[in-house]
Amino acid sequence: MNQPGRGEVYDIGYQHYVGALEGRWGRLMALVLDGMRTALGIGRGLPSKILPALLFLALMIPALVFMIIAVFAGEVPEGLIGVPGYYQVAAIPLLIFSGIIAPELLTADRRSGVLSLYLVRPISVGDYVMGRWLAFFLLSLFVLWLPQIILFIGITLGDSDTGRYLLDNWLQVPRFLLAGAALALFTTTLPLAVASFINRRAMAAAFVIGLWFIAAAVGNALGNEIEGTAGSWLFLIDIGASPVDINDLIFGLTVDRSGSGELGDVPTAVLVVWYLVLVAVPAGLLWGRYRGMGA
Amino acid sequence: MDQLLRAEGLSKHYGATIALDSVDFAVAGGVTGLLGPNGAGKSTAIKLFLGLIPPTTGRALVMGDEPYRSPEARMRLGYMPEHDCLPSSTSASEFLSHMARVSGLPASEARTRSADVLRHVGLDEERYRAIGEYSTGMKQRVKLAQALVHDPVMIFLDEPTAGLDPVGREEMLDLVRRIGTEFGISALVSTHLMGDVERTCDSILVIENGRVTEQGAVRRFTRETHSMLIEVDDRRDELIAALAERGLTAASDGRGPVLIEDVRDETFDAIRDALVASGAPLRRLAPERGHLSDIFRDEGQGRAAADGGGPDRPAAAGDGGTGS
Repeated sequence: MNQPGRGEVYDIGYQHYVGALEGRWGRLMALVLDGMRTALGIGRGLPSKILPALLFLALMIPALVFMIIAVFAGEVPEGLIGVPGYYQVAAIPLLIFSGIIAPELLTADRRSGVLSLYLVRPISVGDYVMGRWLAFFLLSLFVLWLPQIILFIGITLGDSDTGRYLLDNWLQVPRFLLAGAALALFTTTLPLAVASFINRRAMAAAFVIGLWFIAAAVGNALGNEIEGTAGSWLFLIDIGASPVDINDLIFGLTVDRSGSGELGDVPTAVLVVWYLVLVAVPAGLLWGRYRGMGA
Repeated sequence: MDQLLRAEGLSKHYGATIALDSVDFAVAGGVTGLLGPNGAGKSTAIKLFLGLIPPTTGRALVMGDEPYRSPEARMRLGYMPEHDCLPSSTSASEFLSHMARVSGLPASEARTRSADVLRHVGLDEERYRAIGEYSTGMKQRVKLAQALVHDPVMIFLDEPTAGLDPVGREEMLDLVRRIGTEFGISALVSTHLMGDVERTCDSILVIENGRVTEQGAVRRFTRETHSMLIEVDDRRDELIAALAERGLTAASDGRGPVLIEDVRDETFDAIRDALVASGAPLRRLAPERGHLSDIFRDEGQGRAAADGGGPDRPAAAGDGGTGS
């Protein structure tokens, strides 16, 4: 008989699981959440958390600064980047972040062999790739949309005529949501496609960032060097600027390359098709790379 | 016992290479050893049943479903690969919880199951440490635990004792045995080590050159033969001579036991007399038992295993038989 205040531990042996099981969506979400944790360095050492924290700050601080200036000025001052031009600033840190972090979502699983365990779970290889892709895409959306939301709310509330400002500018909300999605789509797909072919994260990251910078250098150099229509088309080599072009089109801004030169001679449809190609080709490569690995 | 795995005319070709050649067999519950030399088709068979690759012809059925066509069927399967498959920077607890969630368990249940399973495989306090800090034996346990965490009906174990020291090997074999008996989970154990199979398995399935060459209960391969082993402490040569005088052919390598083949009832009297006549001090007298390794030795000699009461020899479908 037990004495008061004392207990006994019984080994009831192995117990079979008799509870409910989640469906495909639940399993996919488990992959998405794990991918987000990997990208943010959660559950790993401090160094893994530094870069995501820096990115978050790099995207949030300009939004907060612009918002504070707008609030004190009572309006968006002339020359200050507001909601329409915000992604022109945000694209650069996001491109760098995606190049460094996104490959980790795929290379780590292949290098460690964990991929072989995923492929024997009740998920398809398509679910696996989609889960990893969604993880980074949703994370990118969050870090792109949050500062825009803060910026828009701040500017709206800081305006001397809040109601009028909201009525005049409410369309900026769906536009920055759409433009943010376009930017996140691009910065998620291409690095993951590269990572599907390169096993080491560092090499994949170097390849992606090198691609951004070399394409930017070559595209801008040729675009500025060669005058006329040909020069305008050569600016398209700077593939990292393509989602910013889409942002400018969505907001009805003049499409340029940050003062490097205009793309006025390139039809709008070409800009859109070029962006779609830059997303579709990596997506096809990513899918093709994994398709043969499992059911 | 119900059939858990069933191969129906199952073939897998890689170009001109035939990994599996139209085999038919079934695997029931319990612990089954999957034996065969390198390149025999064992890994291909496992991949087909896990649904990782499509069959060229035929079907690989797991409890009536084809995992290749229906990934949901893998809910009832677990897999412990031979190769490294663990993340180094994650704790075992976190890794198992995640694997349970990917298998469909809700978050809270996944955490509970991972703690329970890690305790059952002998990783309790260590479960919060990063896997990269684990010894080889502990990593093997994590690999086994991840195969069990979603409570499968059957698990595939690929060389579960690979890389383990003798103590770790004993513990792993004990775990495999317990999975089949205490946990009530069936297992297909692919290994080269016959001793492991004899220790842990209820039955075996032998694949060679893409065909099923043997299948049956382990005890049918390891039962007593018609040979007798005599261990003596001394005067071995005198004993062999005394046996020869009585018409018995005995053999010995000079150090080990004396082996007499084709033993009949009247042979025992002759052995007794020879022992007395030779003055050899008897240590042990016992019938010889068959060993699983004899299967491959016998294959090399072109004869059936365990002649005279050995197991049935199932043939590949191409031979007009079944392996079940």
